[in-house]
Formats: sequence, structure tokens, C-alpha cells
Amino acid sequence: MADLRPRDERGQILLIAAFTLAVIFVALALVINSAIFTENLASQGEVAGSSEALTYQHQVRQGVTEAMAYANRYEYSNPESSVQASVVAMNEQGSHQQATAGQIVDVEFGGSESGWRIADNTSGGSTFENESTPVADQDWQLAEAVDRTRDVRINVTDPSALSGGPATAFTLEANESLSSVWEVRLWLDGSEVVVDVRTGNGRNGECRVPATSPVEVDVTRGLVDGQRCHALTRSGTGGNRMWWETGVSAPYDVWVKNGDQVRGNYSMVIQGTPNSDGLSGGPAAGDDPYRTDAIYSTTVRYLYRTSQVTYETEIEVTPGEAP
Amino acid sequence: MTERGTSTALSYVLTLSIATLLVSGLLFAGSTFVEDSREQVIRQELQVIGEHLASNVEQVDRYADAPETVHEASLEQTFPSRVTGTTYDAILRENGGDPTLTLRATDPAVTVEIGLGSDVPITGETFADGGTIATSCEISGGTCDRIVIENA
Repeated sequence: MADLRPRDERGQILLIAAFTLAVIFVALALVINSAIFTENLASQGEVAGSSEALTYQHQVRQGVTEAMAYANRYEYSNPESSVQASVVAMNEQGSHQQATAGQIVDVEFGGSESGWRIADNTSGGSTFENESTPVADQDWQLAEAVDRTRDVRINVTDPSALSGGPATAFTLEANESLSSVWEVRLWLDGSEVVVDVRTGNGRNGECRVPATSPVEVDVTRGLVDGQRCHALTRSGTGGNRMWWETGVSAPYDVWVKNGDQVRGNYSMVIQGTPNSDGLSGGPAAGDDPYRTDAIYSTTVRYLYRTSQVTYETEIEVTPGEAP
Repeated sequence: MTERGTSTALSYVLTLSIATLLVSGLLFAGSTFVEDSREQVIRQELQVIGEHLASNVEQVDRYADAPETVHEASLEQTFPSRVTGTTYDAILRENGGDPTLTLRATDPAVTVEIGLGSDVPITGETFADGGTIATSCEISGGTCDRIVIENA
């Protein structure tokens, strides 16, 4: 009775234990493998091309903005076909470039809304008066029944010609009625140019820049000399967002007041009726401000497609329109 | 001489039972450890997949957020169809104005929740299983009514 079983039949428990342990180790290896895979997945970025869809859309918007500015400035006899040709060219170049990166991009001209461009770009600057009357009119209406306005820019080439105080300051205003007014005034205070914004509720605020020439006021974008001007974009009381024509319902009139108290250039694009007496019918030599046909907004169909991303939209481009 | 057999049998039984005890202890501890690790890894993996999916939802929301007329906006991404050997599904739900993405593994039951921005347009509930998941906008009249997920 020394041995219950023959020697070669002993050790089953150890054998089973070893086998089960081996299975456990294999399972552990699989789990660790999954953990490594998780780390790998975590280190991957977003879906390829998903951000580029928005980046390229922004580029298209920029391209159309430039095309519109060019068409309105130089191709005003038929601005729409000029913009359309630019969009076609942009599409041909862009889609080739994008195709090499594995993306299909299609940009199509989808139509435009017409308007008027009003400008006075006399070389060296001039006063902002209505020169068509026998005696130059310093307070005059640039346009009436205006629905929308964009890209209102004033370039003061000679700040020293600005008036010395608010009472007689040059004023550009969007005027619906006596109480519904949005206006910006410019005057000189010592060595600083004051950009003062008033609404129907009274004075909104001001910003100041050194009176070095020229001073550029981008009214609808809220910039003075390229810097954000708080008074042009925020209401002085609550700090709420506020822009050109806030509180003024369309249609409104656009007026220049004390146009003799400023020297420089200005331009804007409107949807409304420009003053046909005060504005000549095209860029003219001399001091006259003028009006030309212009494109107010352009719609572009934009398609961006990769194996993983599909994005199709219509982009409406209205450069420099207050939100 | 008759007592020697008893002694050998007793020690044999003792040896066997101690060995069995030790081995089963080892196996129990080992399998519990593996099971715990597995659950932890599943949770991590669901978290990672969920974050990717949530970023897709927010990206589609950015596509739709532009003021323009949107015709189509969708993103597809391929995820593992199983996490550490178990299947899972993703649920995108409104959750009473607090949009949430929930990922559920079936066995072991592990649930991971990921909050989304409250302005993301999500109504009701949409589901997708593991694999290739498409996140897209349901569009009516040029605006994105709701963002849905589905298997592509």
C-alpha cells in the first residue's frame, strides 16, 4: 500500500492548475493588448479632413470677398459676371489642389444680390460735401430707403482738418426717424481723433486714436486704425453687442452732416436708393462722390467630400456687414 | 505494519487537499484579477470611443452652426466592433435639455456617459452599435434640426 496509484498517473491537480493558469495568462495578455489598442485609439486625432472642410470654406469666403471687392471697384459695368468668373477660376484651381489631397471640393456660383457702391476716393482726400449744388452742401442725404449697408469705411487723410468739438463734428448717420438714429462723429481733441457713437438713446461711447494721418474708421466692422473700437461694437450701458444701424429699422436713410469738417475718402455698399443728384454716375475726376452698380452679396454652393466627411452648404458672402 | 498504510493514506489526503486549496486559491485570485482588469479596460475603451464620437457630434454641430443654408453634413468614423471581447452600443439622447452620449458594454455591463454642449440640437434618442458610426444632421429647410448617430 505504499503507492495508491502508479507513479506516472500522479500530479493531475498540478497539471490542471498549470493549464488553467496558462489560460488566465493568455486572457490577461488579451486584456493588456486591448488596453494598448485603447491608448492607440486615444492618441488619434479627429476624423481626417473634418476641420479642413471648415478651413477651406473660410478660404472660399475670403476668395469671394476679394473677388467682390475687385468687381465692385473695377468691373462695375457688370460686376456679377466678374464675380462669377472668379468663382469658376477658384473652383478649377481649388478642386485640383484638393484632389491631390484626396478630397473632392466643388465651389459653384449660386447667384448674387445687387446693390450700389457709394464712394469718394479722390486722391489725397477731399471734403465729404455734396458738390453738385451751386454752393457745396455740407448736410446731405447719401441714400434713402436703405435696407442693408455693408463695408462702411472712412479714411481721414488729414486729421488736422477735423473740427475741434462735437457740436460741429463730421457725422455719418443711419436715420429712420428723429428718435431712431445711429451715428458716428469724428472730431479732433488735441492730438487725438475722437470716434464718438450715438444712438437714439443718447451717447454710446467713444474711442480715441492718435491724430497721425491717415485714420481709418471701419464702421461696420467696428475697427479704428485696425484696432477694435468698443464704442462701435458694444452698447455703453450694458456691454451688449451693438453695431451700425442697431435700433434703427430698415428702411432708413444715410446722411452725411458737417461734411466740410473732414478731409479724406469714404466708401460703402448699400441696398437702397442712392442720391442721384449728389452722386455722379461713375468714378469721376475731381471731387465728386459717385455711385456705381455693385454686388451686395454673393451666394456660393460649397461641397466638401472625403471618404469620411460630407459637407454641403450655401455660403452667403456679405463682406463687412454688421451682424 | 498495518498502521503504515493508514499513515500514507492520511498524508496523501492531506497533501492533496492542501495542494487543491492552494491551487484553487491561485486560480480564483488570477481569474478575479483578469476580470477586474478587463472591466477597467472596457471602461477606458468606451471612454475613448465616446470622446471621439462626442467630438464628431460637436464637429457636425459646427458644420450646422454656420449661418448658411446647410444641405448635408455628416462624419463617419470606424471604431472597433468589440471592446475587449464584448459588444457595445452608443446612445445619443436629449436627456431633458442636457444632451448625453451613453456607451454600454453588454458583458460585463459597463456604462460610460459623456456630456455634450447644451446647445447641440439633439432630440429623442438615436442608437448605433460598434463598428462604423456615422454622425449626421437631419436637415429641413436648410437648417440642422437634429444630430443623429447610426451605423454606416
